[in-house]
Formats: sequence, structure tokens, C-alpha cells
Amino acid sequence: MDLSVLFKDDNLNMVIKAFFMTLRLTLLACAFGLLLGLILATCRVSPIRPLRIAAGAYTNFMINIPIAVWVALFFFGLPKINLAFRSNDLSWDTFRSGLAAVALWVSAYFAEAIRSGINSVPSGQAEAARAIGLPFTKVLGHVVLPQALRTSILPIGVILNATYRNAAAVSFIGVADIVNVTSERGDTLAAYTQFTIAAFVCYFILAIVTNSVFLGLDRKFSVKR
Amino acid sequence: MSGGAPERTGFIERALTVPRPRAGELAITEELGPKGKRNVLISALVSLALVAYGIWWMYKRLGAPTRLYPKGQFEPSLWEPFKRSETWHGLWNGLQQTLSAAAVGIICSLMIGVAMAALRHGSGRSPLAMVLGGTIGVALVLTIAAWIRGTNPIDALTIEWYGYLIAAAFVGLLCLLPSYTSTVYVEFFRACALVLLIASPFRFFGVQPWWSVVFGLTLYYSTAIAEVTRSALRSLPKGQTEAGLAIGLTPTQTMTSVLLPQAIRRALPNLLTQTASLLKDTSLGFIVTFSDLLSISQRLAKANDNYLPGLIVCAGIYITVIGIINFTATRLQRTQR
Repeated sequence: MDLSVLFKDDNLNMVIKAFFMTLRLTLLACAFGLLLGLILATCRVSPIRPLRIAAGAYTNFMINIPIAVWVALFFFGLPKINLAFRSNDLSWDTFRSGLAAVALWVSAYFAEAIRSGINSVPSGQAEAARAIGLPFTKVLGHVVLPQALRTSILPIGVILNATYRNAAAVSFIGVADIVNVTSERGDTLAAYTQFTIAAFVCYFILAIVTNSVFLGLDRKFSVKR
Repeated sequence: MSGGAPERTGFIERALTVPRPRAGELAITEELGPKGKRNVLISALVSLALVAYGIWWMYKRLGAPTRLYPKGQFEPSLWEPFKRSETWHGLWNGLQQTLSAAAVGIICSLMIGVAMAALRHGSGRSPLAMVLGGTIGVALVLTIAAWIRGTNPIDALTIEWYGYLIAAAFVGLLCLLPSYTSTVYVEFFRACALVLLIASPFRFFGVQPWWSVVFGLTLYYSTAIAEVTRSALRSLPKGQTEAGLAIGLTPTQTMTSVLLPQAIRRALPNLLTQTASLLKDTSLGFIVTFSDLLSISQRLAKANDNYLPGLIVCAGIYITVIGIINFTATRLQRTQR
């Protein structure tokens, strides 16, 4: 097998660009998703029933529909009801709709992770906080959430890692991410093996770096019980 | 909840507030007093209004008139294809593809995944474990070698036999250490991107799309199932193994007839969650032009020019099928507790 085709012309450059495209899309989506997930998790444990039900319905709705369907809905469906994601720049349009779909989709997973983190906080903590007279917002904000977030560092890392790979669904609408670029190049140059190996390597790098970062964060911040 | 006379609460108040957490949930709020109840009621009404407004906004948006369709997406002509049986026939074909790939995929991954978990958990000295480890190792080496060469495994076997001599020596080593084989297998394929695993057989060996999807899903989900099963095996009390060995069972028999049945029962909710996840991931088959539910409904939507209704129906089918599996998993988890 001849790997030199990867280094010819502009190929390596394109793969590296695609690598950063996947990285950028995933990190942005996860940043938005984490914020939204935090809000959703708070809604799901709040004493206000309509919020609980709405957040639960949203989470189930998002989780039970594959990401590829969401991406297709956002890119092909939303313009039909005049909901944006259309400009003169096609790559920017696909990026935006892919980002929105992935962010909303991953927020449901973050919400579940944070909620199970909340439920893993010992009940004595919440009882003590309630006993000293803190209201709901302060019990959650000062006592429960800081501990819950620290225990959900590893699950959040796992979700981030899974998002790199699931975000490959955006190549369905033509975002120039790792999968899209490597299959296009492999197709044009009849070098599928080489480019697929390059794609595997890209995902391995992402996985290894993310894993080590989150293991470090967990070691530093997690609550020792 | 303390004793005493049950408080009389109105229907609306009960529908709007839940101060009582379920088992396994953290109690963040105290039993509410009159003031707290009033506050919760007010915020419940406000949030209800907000949610209702959101739904109303979506509804208006869907029905907003456009140039072509005066009734927006509720235009009857857009939904008309769903009155015809061909449409449903096409969707049913797609669903069949999705479900059959998922079913074969989950069966294969269960077999491989449970075997891997058993190998990794066990001491790895029993003959059955060695034979299993050896077989899987040989298959793995052949596949990877053929993959790199870009031929199919049998063709690859007939040429360059010396490469396979080295591989066989390698596998012989792995046979002696099956638990390492399974560790390597699990750790390697768990870190691979599923889309690429699905794409590889199709691109390198020209495998049919359906088989390609099954192959990729099996490789990836067998590792997930191996991890789930292994953690269930580890959660079993140590006395189970000891008792099995004490009544004269071999380590393999202890594993297959004492430990595994209990572990699988414990892992059942998680295994169902993995099944739902696998079913969802069949939609990644677009990379190998697999005609599953998503791509069929996309094709139909293109032909009928009704993207939004078409994709909404597609999403509805997915949510029904996957929702049933997830619901069963949640129920099982609750009954097991």
C-alpha cells in the first residue's frame, strides 16, 4: 500500500482543514449544548411540573430521533418555513444548520448526564442545605450543581468523544468535515484505503486528546467519596 | 411526607406541582408551605404559558403562507402522498432494511460482545476461551491484513503466505492470552468512528451496503456490549464464582452457567439502550448508499417535493420504534431496582 498519495499536491492540507472543521463544529456544538443541557437539567429537577414535562419531552424527542434525521430536517426542512440557514455561501449555510442540529441534539445527552450527576449527589447534602433554609435556586446553585458537575466530568467527556464521530452525520449535507473530505478525495483519486486510514488517524487523535484532557480534569476536580 | 390529614389540593394545583421525588432522585425542595406553593403555582402558570406560546409559534410558522402554498406546510397537496399506498410501501421497505440490519447487527454484537466480556473477565486459562480467542484473533488478523491489501480475505490468503505465517505466530501468542486479545479488540474498535467502520467493507472489498452496515455496527457495538456486560460481571458478588468452582464446575462452566446468566439479566436495561442506539445508528448507512428509512423518505420527499412533511413522518416512525425500546428499558430498570 502506497501512502505517498496523501502527501501529494494539496491532499494533506485538505485533510488537516477537514480535521479542524470537525473539531470546530464539535466544540462549538458542545459548548452550546452544555449550556442548554444545564438549563434542561435544572428544569427537569425543578418543582415546577410544566417545566419538568417540557424538558423531559424535549430530551426524549431529541434522543429518540437519529442525528442524521435532525441534520436533514434542519438543512432541507427549515428553509421551507422561512427559518433561515440560507445565504449566498453554501458552505456557511451547511455549517450553520449542521451546527444547530448537532448542538440541539447533544444538549439532550448533556442534560441526561447532568441529571444523573445531580441524582448521584448524596441526599444528605441537599437535606443539609434545605435545613439551613436555602431556597431551591440556592440549594441547586450553591450545593448540588457544583458537586453534580464535578461528578459528570467523565460522562461529559464521553459524550464529547461520541459527538466527534456522530457529527460525521453533517457530511450528509456536505459540510467539509473529515468523513466528507476523505471520501471525496478517495473517490476522485481512487485511493480509498489511504484516505480512510487518514480519517481513522484523525479520529484517533481527537479521541486520545479528549480522553487525556478529561481524565486530567476528572482527577483534578472530581469529588472524592 | 409526614402523616396527618391529607391536604386537599385542587386538580390544577396537583397537575402543576410535584414536590415528591421518585426513588433514586434527589429531593431538592422541601415540602412547600403556603407561600412557596403560591410561588410555584405562579411560576408554573408562567412557564406553562411560555411553553404554550412556543408550540403556538411553531404551529403558526408551519402554517405561514408562502408563495406556492397558501396554507403553508398544512397545504393538503403536501400531505397527499401519504394517502397513497406506494408511499407507505416505500417507507415500509426502508423500515424493513433498517430493522433487519439492526436485528442482525444486535444479534452478532451480542454474541461477540458477551464472548469478549467473558474472555476479558475470566482468568483466560480454559480451553474454550483459548479456542474462542484464537478464532477471533485469526479472523481479526485476516481481515486487517486483507483490508490493508485492498483485497478480500480469501484472496489475500492464497498470495503472500509468509505474511500469514507471521500473523499465525502472532495469533498463537494471542491464543495463550485471550483476555489481552479481547482488551485490544475492545479498546481499538471502541475508539474507531462508526461511520468509517461502516464505510470500510464497502469501499475496500465492495461488500453490499446492507452487509457493510451490519459489519460496521457489529464491530462497534460488540465493544459497547462487551463493556456493559463486563461491568455487570464485575458487579456480581465474588461468592458466585467461588460457589461455582466449589461444586466442581470448571471455570468455563462457572462462567457460562453461573455468572453470565446473572450478568446478562443485570445488564438487560443497558443492553436495550445499546439496541436503541444501534437502531438509530443504522441511519449512518448513508455513507454506503444504504437504502434505509431515512434515505428512502428523503428520496420520496425529493420526488414529491414535500421535504418537511416527508422528514416529519420519517422522524415520527423513528421516534415510535426507538421510543418503545427505550421505554421498555426504563421500565425494566425501575422493576429491577
